[in-house]
Amino acid sequence: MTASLGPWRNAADTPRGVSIRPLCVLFCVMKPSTAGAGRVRTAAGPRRYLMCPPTYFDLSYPVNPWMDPSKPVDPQLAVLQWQRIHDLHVELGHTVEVLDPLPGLPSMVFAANGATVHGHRVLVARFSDDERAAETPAYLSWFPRHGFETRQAAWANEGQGDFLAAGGWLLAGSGFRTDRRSHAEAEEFFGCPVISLTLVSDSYCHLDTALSVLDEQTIMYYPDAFSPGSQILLRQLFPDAILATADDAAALGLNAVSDGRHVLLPAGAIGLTAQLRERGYQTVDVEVPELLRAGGGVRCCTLELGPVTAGTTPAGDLAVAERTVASIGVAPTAGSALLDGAAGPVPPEDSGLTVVVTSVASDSHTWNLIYLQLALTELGHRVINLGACVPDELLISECQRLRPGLVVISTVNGHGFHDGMRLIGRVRACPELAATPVVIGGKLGITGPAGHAGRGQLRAAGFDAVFEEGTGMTALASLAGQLTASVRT
Amino acid sequence: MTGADLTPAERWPASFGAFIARARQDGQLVVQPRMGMSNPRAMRAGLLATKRAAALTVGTITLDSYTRVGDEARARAAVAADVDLNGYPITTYDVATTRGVLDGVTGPGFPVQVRHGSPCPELIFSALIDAGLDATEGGPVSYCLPYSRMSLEASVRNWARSCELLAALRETGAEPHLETFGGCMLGQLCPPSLLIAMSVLEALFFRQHGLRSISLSYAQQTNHEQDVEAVYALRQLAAQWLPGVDTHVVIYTYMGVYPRTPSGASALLAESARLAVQTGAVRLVVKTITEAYWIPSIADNVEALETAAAAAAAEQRAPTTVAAGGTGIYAEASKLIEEVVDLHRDLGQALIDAFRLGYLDIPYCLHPDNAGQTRSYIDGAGRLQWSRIGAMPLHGLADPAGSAELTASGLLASLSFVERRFDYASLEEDLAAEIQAAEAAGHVPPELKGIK
Repeated sequence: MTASLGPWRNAADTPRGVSIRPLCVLFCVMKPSTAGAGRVRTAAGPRRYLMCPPTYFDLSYPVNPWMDPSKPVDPQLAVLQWQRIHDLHVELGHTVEVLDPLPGLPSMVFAANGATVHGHRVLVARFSDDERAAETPAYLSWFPRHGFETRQAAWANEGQGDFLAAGGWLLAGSGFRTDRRSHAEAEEFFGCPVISLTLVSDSYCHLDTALSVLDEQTIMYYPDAFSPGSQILLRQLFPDAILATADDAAALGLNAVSDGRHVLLPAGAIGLTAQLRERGYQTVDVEVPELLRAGGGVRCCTLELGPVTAGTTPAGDLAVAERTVASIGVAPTAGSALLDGAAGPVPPEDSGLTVVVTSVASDSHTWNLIYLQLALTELGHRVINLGACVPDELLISECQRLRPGLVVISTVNGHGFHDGMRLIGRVRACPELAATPVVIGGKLGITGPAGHAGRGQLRAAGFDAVFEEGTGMTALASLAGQLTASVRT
Repeated sequence: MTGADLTPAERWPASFGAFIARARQDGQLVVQPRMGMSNPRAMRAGLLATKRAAALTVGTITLDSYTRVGDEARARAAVAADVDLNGYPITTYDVATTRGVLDGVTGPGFPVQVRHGSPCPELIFSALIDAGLDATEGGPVSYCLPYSRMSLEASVRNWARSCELLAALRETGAEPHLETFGGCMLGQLCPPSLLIAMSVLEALFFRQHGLRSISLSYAQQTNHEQDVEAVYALRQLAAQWLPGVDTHVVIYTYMGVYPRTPSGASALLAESARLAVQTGAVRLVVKTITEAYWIPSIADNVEALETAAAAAAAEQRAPTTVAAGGTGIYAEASKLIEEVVDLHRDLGQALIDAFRLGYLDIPYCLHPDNAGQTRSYIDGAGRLQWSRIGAMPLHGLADPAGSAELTASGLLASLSFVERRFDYASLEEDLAAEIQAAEAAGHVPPELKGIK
């Protein structure tokens, strides 16, 4: 914290109130933040999101400079891109509630603008565009039905498009959409200090296109989207913030969704992606070009409802691998039995390897995975089975999380050679996985075995071993045994 | 060419259901390959070869794995780089290309069906409709749980929209056809009562979303008599639950680990053709003798179609009697369907609720939306049985034998049960023939002496 903040630091005992808002309130609750690089991320808890499919998506009126209503919209493409965001949230262990879309409301897909949620209270938006005002009844009806104390804003207010929670505050944008009077209204309604920020660029007329909250203490933002005063404020409040370049912001890289560990953002935000990875976040590329034409990205489609509370989903921070394995009745760390009721002796922690068994993104076969899990478990290893159709990103993030002693990729759909070549490049590009033993096996080509040359290419690309069909379990068992021995010594 | 300037009759020259109805009248089994090539010329050649095979056939365009999971970017990259895919990427090629594949091939005497495997098939359905086709297959559960990571809820939503897209063709005078894939569910180790319940439930879902021409699938399992009982039960349930809908049953030749010997593979295929004839199923989707190894060639497919047609014809000429014992498959399936349908007026929601409650629970399915509390095994007679029924409402109907410890080798033995049965039979025949030939020639080699 810089010396210029001195005068306010003495205000630690000042009661929270509007009269000296926001700065004094801010610093009395501000927690010290650790330096960014290399810090360990706390495990992110599962979140609850509300999304609305772009069934009636269209560019019917030009409401922002990103829009070009002359080019026809492809609603099916929009649905597909939206579905990908939805599925990514689910794959990352979050709960996604779905709001039914209404005909004639082309922007309803941007659910984040519909409301601000804080604890069990919800302030439903008051849209400044008449065209979007028709969306509010849907939110006014959905939230009370789901147990939230709900009220509509009295002043122009575009929900989480302009209100983002960070630390113990609400960061609130104004200048284009949300009326500044609604900042005070939100503070009063939520009983939470609001930091007012002024947006100055009509390319970033919602706060959520210029600033993104990554976790309790960390944000990223594009300084030039804010007034000089707001820039000073942000620098003082978040000295460790990640700063976006003009290119990152133009790629809508700040319209990101973070669960504290994974950050979903467009691949085009190259600088941000690199900075996030350096800070230990796992970035997930999300492309929504069709929705981007209306100025919205992944964040605009995702209204955050808060953490999942006990009872709403299976408890705990279960990644998809654990949920998959749990669904067949075995805890990932206990790993001795694949299936409920097939109990065997639980291998002690040090008796074998932690093995990730997985398929590739395009392969839906699972019997091979079930067999490998049973066989490796019987050999004393702890197996995490990622199941069918594993996206590259998921495999990599699970390996980064679990740090397995062996990764077994089993694929039988004939795409194994090409998928394997791509995948191993991405795995080896992660410094912490550069030396992880990774093997591939199965039916690797569609016309026949990859053959000697193909196996050579796969090994040269980074696989430690290649087992084509016909190789028995013995070879894999032997490799796993050698690895276990080398770990012990 | 666009679809807009064509009349419905020109646009949909062949109705799948009408073709099947004619075959049923003629008492002939329709056979169909699982064929898909990424190259349009090869795909066209495959369809032509299917059409010209010595059998009553319908054509198949099977899509590749990238298209199935919605990864168009990779499908496009593979096509651009001339990399062979494991199927035809219908959403990657433009309409003209696919129409070129079909032009002069499909018609009233040769319908073509698109087979895919997608839990989000909207783009696929649009593409096949644009290409002038109106028959495809799948289902909200059967193409989600075993084959994807998508949530069942999302798959149900996608399938509802996709069914409506296909059903909208009815307004033009066409009669689109949709086949359930629910009679397969992982291909192995799912007891028949659950398979046929899934097939009927998916057909009900299709009807709810506007389809009126529906086929119900059943995949050949481990015991012929059990399969015969199951298909009869499926036909009975289809008649009860789908009045006013044009339905037929389609048999899939065994979808699990396939025999490696050519004669074992052929014998399994012939048995599936006999199953279809004996039970009055009108259509059979075949497997080839190379199935155990790699993706079959066009010639392999034609050979399989002709083998199946010949076996069906032989069965029709000299029917064998099968004792299809009443082991309660109908009662179990009936109970499952009733309980699920009662859960919600909207069948999609009912299916979601049923899996959440474990009323439907596919054994050995790894998907997070599957409860995973049921188990099955193959009994001494080769029949699929329940060892655990979890929360499925089958108490008093199914009598679980208790859970046996499942080991890797036990699983492998179950998965390869059919393969071994047909391969061993084939090897024994070969050996017997060899001994007979040696005896006829008067010198039996020492290693064969005493084997008989």
